[in-house]
Amino acid sequence: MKSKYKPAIGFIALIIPFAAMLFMIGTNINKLSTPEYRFAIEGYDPRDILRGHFLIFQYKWPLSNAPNTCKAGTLDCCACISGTPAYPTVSFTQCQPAQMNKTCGGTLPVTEMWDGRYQPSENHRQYYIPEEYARELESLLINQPERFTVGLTLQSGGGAQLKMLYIDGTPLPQFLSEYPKENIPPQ
Amino acid sequence: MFGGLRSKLKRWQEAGFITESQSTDILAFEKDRKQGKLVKDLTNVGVIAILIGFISLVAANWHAIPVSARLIGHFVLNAGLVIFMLRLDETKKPIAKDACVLGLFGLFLTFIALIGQTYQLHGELHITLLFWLLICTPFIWVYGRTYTVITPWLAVAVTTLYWNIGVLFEDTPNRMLLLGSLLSLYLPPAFLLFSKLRWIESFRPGFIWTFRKLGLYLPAVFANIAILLFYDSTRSVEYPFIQLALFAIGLLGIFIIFKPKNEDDQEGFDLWYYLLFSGIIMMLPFAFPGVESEFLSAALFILYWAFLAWLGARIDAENLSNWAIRLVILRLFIVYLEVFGSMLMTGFGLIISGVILLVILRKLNTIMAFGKKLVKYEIKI
Repeated sequence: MKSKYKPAIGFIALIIPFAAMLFMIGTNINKLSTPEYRFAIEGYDPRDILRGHFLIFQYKWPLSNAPNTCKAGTLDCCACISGTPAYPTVSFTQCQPAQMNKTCGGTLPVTEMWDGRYQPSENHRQYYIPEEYARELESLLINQPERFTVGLTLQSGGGAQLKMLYIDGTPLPQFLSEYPKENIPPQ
Repeated sequence: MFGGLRSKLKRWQEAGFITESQSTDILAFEKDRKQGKLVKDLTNVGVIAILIGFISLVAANWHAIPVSARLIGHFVLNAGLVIFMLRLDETKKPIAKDACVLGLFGLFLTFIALIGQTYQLHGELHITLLFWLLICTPFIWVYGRTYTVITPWLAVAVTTLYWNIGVLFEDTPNRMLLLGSLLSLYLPPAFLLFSKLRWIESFRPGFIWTFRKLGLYLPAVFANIAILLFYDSTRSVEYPFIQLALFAIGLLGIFIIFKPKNEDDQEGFDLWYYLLFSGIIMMLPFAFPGVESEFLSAALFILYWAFLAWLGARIDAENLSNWAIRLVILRLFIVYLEVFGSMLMTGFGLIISGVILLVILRKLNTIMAFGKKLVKYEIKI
């Protein structure tokens, strides 16, 4: 009986990780076709020197007229993203999924920073970049932040994911393939 | 190349250990072996050069490779390694097969990282490790055969376990401490018992060594961590009685399960003493949760390592005894630094510290010999 099931067990043991990888890709591949909301960003100071592979930034939210209902100092605060993908607006409200689903296109948990601005967790404020471009891109972000935007895709069950970083409206990989690092163009 | 061997053979021949014909045969055998080895080594160098070249090409053009090509490429690489692994005959090439399993284990981590990078997932590392462990565990246990595979797997498993407990109970550090400390008491004996199961002896005999070694080393690691807890008195636990009771149950379990059946079983007694004493040391910070004392921490450290030195002498592990005695000496010196730390700010303090350090180093052998005598004297008692 042992030998009868041995090939099947071996097959299943090998299929599990491959299936898991395909599942991971499958659940995230839709991000590439979901409409993304574009937000302006600016540099974050001080820079974390251990994170040479990531461009760290903070959002310049296009605020709506809706009142801020987050209590000062509370951790229970969400950015309610509404409007259209091309012209999104953001308001800050206490995280109440049932109510927010009706009014917000998507939500993102945020916390109040030292300067009083609301920002999401670090995971949504860093973008993977090739390390050899780190210095140039960081300098560009500090000096010409108006050229940078990021695209967030909103998920149906609430939450948002960072999809792409743009420079002059061009996706980062395309931008880097067009300009070698010594020729990253000044505006 | 054979000059060294030739002169050795000549000496052995002159001493009458081997005959002239044996000497000629040995030399011919070694010559043949070395020639084969040279060809094999050069082949390996060639293969490694090709691999490094391939990796360099991919790395240099990484940002220019389309996302889909990266993912498909990695998938194909993993699948290729699986096919290669399945084609290997494990009876003829067990090490190569285990190397493939280990490689696959590593490649699935890089695959997860690649997917995370591609879709900007930014997952938490402890969750990533848990996910990696869960999906890889089945094939590790089905296809792995020796410690080469199970040692990294077990290291990842223990790290993931403690890390996830740490994150899960981040907001309730008392519960984290309760669970972590109890796990430290229960986990090593569990590994030791697991290594003795008939099932693992027949199913994966090559895994026994790792479980046994980890079961033997971890109590010393955890006991030393517990000793450090006396530096901080903020380890009060939510339910001290329950914590102590669970510790006591664990110690009782060790007392009953690991107690040697035979009076002559010295190895069994040594293990029994070791597990019990380490367990008691682990329990102490929780038996006296409010106590904060550098002296107590130092005294327990010295006591524990003196015990290990004694144990080393009993089991003829000279290295363990030597290192344990060295650590005791070093800890005594650190006690001096802790007590007279402020004096170090002055010239006199530095001079005294330097003199003590030089005396310790100069007389290390004498102190070591004295330490060894002590532990051996204890055995005679």
